[in-house]
Amino acid sequence: MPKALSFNQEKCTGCRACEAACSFKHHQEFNPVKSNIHVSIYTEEASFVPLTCIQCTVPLCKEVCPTGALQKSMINGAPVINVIEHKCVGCKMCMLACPFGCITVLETGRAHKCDLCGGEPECVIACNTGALSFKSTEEGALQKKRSVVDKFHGHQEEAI
Amino acid sequence: MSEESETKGKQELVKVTIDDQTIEVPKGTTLLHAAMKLDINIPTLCFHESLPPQGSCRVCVVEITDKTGKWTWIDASCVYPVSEGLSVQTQSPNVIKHRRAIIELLLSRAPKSEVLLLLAEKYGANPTRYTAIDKGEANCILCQLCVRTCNEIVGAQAIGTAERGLHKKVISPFSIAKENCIGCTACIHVCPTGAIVAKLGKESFEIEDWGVDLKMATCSCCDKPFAPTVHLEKLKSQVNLKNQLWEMCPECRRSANKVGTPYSPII
Repeated sequence: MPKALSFNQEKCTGCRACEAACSFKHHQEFNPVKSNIHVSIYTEEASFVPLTCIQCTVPLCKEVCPTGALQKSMINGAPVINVIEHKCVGCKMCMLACPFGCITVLETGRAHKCDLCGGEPECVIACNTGALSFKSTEEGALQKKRSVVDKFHGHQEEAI
Repeated sequence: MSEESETKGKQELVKVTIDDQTIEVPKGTTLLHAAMKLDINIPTLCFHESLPPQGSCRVCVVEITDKTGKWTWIDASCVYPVSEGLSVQTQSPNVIKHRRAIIELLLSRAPKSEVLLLLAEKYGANPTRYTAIDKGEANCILCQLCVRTCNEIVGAQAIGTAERGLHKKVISPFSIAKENCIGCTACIHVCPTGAIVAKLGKESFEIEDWGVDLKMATCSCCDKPFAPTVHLEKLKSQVNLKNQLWEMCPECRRSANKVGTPYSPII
């Protein structure tokens, strides 16, 4: 089974260490603005949702790219869409087509997105609570099933 | 049958020696690509990986010797297809001499270009050897990279060259068909000399060189201009996204916390 970057909302504390780690890995500075992963913070509900490129099966960014600078490949068992920098002309098509806003065009005129750090995502290493993980999708699906079952079980107990 | 298809699939390989390193490359590869495979750095200005080579700046000149060793000549490596037994020098005194002269000539067109001034320093060229035609206002070396990007890659066909000789310049067709420009800024990013300057106002996007003045779309969440409306219109015909998303800038699409109300980014 292919691997994927997965996320457990219950474990995220909104510390934004992943943002700092990501920007340091790619730009050698701690600047959350330049990060490829963004944590949305809902203060009233006290919930935190990190969002990064989900490496779509049918990537819109790749579809609209006129130069073929975006290529899909497998890295460490995970599908990933990479930017081939010297092919990019900086036309911003991908940036405007991405529904998640997860691809940006840098000042240098090159598109920039999550590349899973070549198979070992830095955000996962930096995540202290284990909210982010890089694992096979099979394992992730199993955990999801288990959490749903747990939830139902909790409701059942409440009813009794 | 299978043998036949195998031989058809195989490309003819040719041997070429670049700076005393030998490499086998498929026939038809350019010398510049062969040098890139050997990690040999040849300076280029008008070359872009996404476009077919044009050979207009001539900075990538190299010294080529044929397989008999009798003939030696100078040619632009980006447009020279390799052939069997060629021997190439990329840093010989003769190459440096030619490259220096080319840089000096280009500097008369673009005297304030940082890239050219750096190259001049590297190759010992005199930046003021020729009187500058251009006083640094345009800084364009007429490599046509922007024109080809606009026409062949983006497909907007908003710019082209006009007039001849000293007066040759890059403009929108007849300086009147300005509406073709979609404001994607690809021309600005590919320009090797930084000749094209865009002005980003509160609600407008301007490129003075070809008199483009486009209206910017403002983000429905953060009220910041994020893309020219024509650029979004062009994309709308290619991509099917929620209407709500077309009104949002990439930052707001990814960080719902700034919006106040969360949304579902589902197509």
